[in-house]
Amino acid sequence: MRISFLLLDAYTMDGTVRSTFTLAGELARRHRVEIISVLRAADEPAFPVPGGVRMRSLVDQRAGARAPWPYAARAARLAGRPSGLVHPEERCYSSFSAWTDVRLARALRRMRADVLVTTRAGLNVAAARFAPARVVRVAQEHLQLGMNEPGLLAEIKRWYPRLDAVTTLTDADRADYEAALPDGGCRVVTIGNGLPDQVHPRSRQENRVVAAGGRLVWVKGYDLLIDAFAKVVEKHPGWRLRVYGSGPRRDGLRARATGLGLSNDVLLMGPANDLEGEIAKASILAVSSRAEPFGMTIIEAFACGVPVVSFDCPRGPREIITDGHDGLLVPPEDSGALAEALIRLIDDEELRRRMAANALASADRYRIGEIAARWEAMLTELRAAKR
Amino acid sequence: MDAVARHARVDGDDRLLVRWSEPLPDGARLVARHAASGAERTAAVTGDTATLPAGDLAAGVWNVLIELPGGRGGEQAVPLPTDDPGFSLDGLLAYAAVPRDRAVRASRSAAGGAVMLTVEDVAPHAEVEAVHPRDGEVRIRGRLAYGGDVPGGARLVAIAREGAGMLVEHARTEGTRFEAAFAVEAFAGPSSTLWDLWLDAADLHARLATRLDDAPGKRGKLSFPKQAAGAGDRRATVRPYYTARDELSIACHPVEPVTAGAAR
Repeated sequence: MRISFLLLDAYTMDGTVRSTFTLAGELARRHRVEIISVLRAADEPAFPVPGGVRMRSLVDQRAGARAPWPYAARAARLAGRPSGLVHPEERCYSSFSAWTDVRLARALRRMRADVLVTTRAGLNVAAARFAPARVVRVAQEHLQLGMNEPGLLAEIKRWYPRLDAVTTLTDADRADYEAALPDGGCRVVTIGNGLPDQVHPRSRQENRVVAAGGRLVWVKGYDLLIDAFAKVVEKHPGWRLRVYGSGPRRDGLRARATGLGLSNDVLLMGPANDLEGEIAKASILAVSSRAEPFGMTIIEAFACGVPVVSFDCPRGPREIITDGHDGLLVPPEDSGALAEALIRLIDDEELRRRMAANALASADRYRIGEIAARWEAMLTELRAAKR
Repeated sequence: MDAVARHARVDGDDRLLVRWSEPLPDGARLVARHAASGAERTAAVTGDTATLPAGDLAAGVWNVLIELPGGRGGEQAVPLPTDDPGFSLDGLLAYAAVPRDRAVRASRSAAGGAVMLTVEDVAPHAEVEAVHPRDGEVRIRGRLAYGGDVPGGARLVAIAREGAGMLVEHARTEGTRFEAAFAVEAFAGPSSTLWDLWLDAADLHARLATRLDDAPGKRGKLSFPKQAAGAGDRRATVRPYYTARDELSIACHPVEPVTAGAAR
């Protein structure tokens, strides 16, 4: 199969970009795979291009870059005008322009691949409108349906039925999209993100460290985690919390830890070059998110043999964690319950080690080989249905 | 994956011990290559283990490679992959509990997940484990690193970075451990002063620092609360902080007196 992935910007680090690279690399072992980036503002993509994957971009924004002859003047004129193709409620609307409209519509109309996978609402709608019907068009949804504004939601309902399939990261999201899209329209399939096929570091359960990882923003709930950790150190003064990631709430979170007398116990570690390497140094991963569309960090922790204590927030954690088996789920936004669960795992080393072993087995479900096989089965069916 | 090391650590005698989950083929060799000079040291793999003496290696980073007979690319050495995260806080503290002038540590590289050795020249420092700024004092607990047991009569000493100020407090010690506290009142003064902290005993002069917890750059990672001290024109705030080199110091800043104008 010839498979094209369409990303808004493969040159900026982002979870969607990373999971697309991982999947594209695995599929490239058996198929002809290319990644098309609408935008290109850097020389090198955000992650190494997997072997066998072809990269191209539609709009080169690097300094000194020029649109191909004879479009330079038109490109310059249109790049300054807002997009008319993408709905203004698209979260990345400002990244699009009248010039990306031209380039995107042209690339989609001329699509020669057998399969086109688009990766966000604006691109999904564009694919439904412009990609030829002979191409299998699959839209990936990384966002919850309910997070879309009404105008964009209307576009989704209008155009997605023209697609061959929508993939969601969780079953809960699948149910939402199925309910929103009329019967007989496109299929909705749950396929999570995959773990790259590599040697994952494995926790020896030897450090009294709880790790957490993600952007330091409100939705990640690190304020609740720090509150919970104040209770943890009352009982287990030797344990430390290490939070990896950067973001606007860093100073506020540090002040919160200081105010609670946790200067020795909570470290805001900043961004990690190798998050798995850091998680593997810890014995427990804490997920304090108020909402978590999927939870790639949970799967990474599992692959490192680290059990996870998480809020049972919408939506990802409960579909990845089996409560009491490879981690513990506690009522969302309840920092007292989070503290109790952490203390339970800290108290009971045998339980922790058993969960760590189970976590390793759970991670197998998300190996990129497994995930790619599910993609291939779906794509084969969709292609057969076209004929 | 070939030859993934399940264990790659440096023991107390500065030997890199590598273990695999099953025996490697006869003739396999471990190679440590100095990143700066390209110098190499090799050790034969015996069954599922290899031991490479590392105590006298030149300072710097040494990449650890594995050479398998008849492997991919003939006998070319390739970076040795490992799933050992390469960090044990207790292990590092135990390693630092004896006198050393050279520290060797095995870790897993962030890029590629291969074994690497870091060799450093070290001098004894007082590894800070906890700082408690409260109840009018700054209490500090830690242990001497790379210096053996703390000699008798140890003192915690604060030395003003500018001027001749010096404060001395008796330190409780046991083996390598020490604990001492300064009253914040002692730091209050009419001008801003930064105080550097040392553990002193006999011929020991060890800077307080936190370096063994695998979290360099503590300045952005944590902060300590400030306490008020002094009275009248000596009113000041006293706050411990980490320097850019992860050394522990104390900052004292006078509180601006409330002027008559401001009071109105």
